[in-house]
Amino acid sequence: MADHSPTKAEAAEQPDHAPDPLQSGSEVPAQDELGQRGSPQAPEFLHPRLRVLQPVADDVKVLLKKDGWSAASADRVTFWIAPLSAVIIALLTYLVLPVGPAFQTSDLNIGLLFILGISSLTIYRIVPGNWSSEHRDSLIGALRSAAQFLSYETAAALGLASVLLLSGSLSTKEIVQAQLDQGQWFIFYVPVGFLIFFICSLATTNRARVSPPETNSEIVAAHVMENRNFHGALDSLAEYANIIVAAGIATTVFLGGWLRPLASYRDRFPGTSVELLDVLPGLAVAAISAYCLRSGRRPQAKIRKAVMNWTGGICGVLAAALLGTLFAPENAMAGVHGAFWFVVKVGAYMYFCLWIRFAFPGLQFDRWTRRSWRILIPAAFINLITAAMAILASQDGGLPMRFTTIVATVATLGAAAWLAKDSPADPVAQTADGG
Amino acid sequence: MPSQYIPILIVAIVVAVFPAAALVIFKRNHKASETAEAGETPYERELPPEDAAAGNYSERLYIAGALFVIFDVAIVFLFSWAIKFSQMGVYGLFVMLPFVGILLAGYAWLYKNGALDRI
Repeated sequence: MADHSPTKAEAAEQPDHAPDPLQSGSEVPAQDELGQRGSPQAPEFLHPRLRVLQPVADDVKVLLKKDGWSAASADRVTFWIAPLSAVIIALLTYLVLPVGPAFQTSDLNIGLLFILGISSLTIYRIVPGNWSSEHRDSLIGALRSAAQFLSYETAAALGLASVLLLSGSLSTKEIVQAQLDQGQWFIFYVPVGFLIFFICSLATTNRARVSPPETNSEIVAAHVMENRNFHGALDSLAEYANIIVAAGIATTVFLGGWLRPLASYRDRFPGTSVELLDVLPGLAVAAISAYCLRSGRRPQAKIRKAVMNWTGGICGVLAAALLGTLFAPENAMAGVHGAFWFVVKVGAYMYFCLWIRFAFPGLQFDRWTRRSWRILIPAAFINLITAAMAILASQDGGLPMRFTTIVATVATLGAAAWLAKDSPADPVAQTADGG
Repeated sequence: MPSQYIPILIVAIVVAVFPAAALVIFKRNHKASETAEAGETPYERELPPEDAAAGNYSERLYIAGALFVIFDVAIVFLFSWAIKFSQMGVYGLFVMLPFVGILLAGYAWLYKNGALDRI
């Protein structure tokens, strides 16, 4: 609505109101401040050498904060349900992710659908938490988050569907097995599908600076602002758990799950059952361990020394486990090595997400939502069709899969570029009614 | 088949008890004087809300919601098709093309009418 008065910006400038919302609204300091010190509001009671532990102290502080507001208008039930459902939803998704061939809680035949269904419930973290405050700004933040989440959820599901063409199963275990049988990770067969899922996982986990749906400077999300106590702690726990879930899905579906790179190359050391490539991770971790222990001997600050020694020790144990299981029974070997590769891939995926978060400036929520509907979703449909054609051409037509994949990828990217060219760069001006 | 869901049920219970217990402990550790008083505004930021929560909201949000319903339901059909695709061959592709075609025709209509400009 254009005739609102006074607007947020004007109100913030008046001295008798709260100071600049940027200052009071966010507990997270600007990125350039992060490099110099911890949270600017944090009491610096820690010994200078223990400042490394400041984030831990901040977390403990959360437990001591006053219990959430109990405004007269507040809806108590939803206020309590929101953080609970957040944690439950986030942790349930882990159940069907296979961390190695041996470690999986339950191998459902609808695994991928289970993950998608449960993680869609994330909406119930965002909306009730903000609804409970009966506050307009909070609700706008919630609706924006929800709109962005829904938009990218659609595209993510379409990106995953392109993998099902190849795997022929929804079971997470069988999807990984199909990647072993077909000799390639699915990222090489449907690269555009992976790209779409990656972009969507950035947007749906709210991880990127690229996509702050609550737009801190304007309306400040209620579940961040109002619950900066234990409710908020549970909420951010759920948010970070969701990142790991997204990384786990991408790893399982596109990046070969627990398979090592070149999984179909199975040459063995002569006279033994040890495969050549299985030795490499153990040796690499052992090298890291040796480096850490060696540099831990140099004269330096005690805390650095301790960190180096601990890292070296942990890596040493890991290397011993990786190398030792080479001579263990087949199942133990596959379990430990599979878990190692799974964790490494999940870590790398999360690293990429954080990298993008720090590398790129932010975009407004509506630009993100519009990009999803104008570019990503039609591109995902086209990707599905071209991927199906590529698979048919190689299965029935006898063309090499490599060739058909490249043709399909180029066609899809071309279509996406055409869609992107057609989209207007500048959105309609934002209004006070949530748009 | 149901036996696969037993571990899920067990973990769901554990996972539900953990945050609930943590919240209750958090609650009990706070004396009454430390909790916020009733009647406080729901914002620490002190800036009073401009409008009631049950006011008007941008149509952008409604359009996104409506589009989501349409396309997400379509994805349900695409998933089951994709799983059986490798067994159906060329027939599978030509069966699905009209379905996706109708969807994309609807998308083009939305595009032409400017619905996507309003998101």
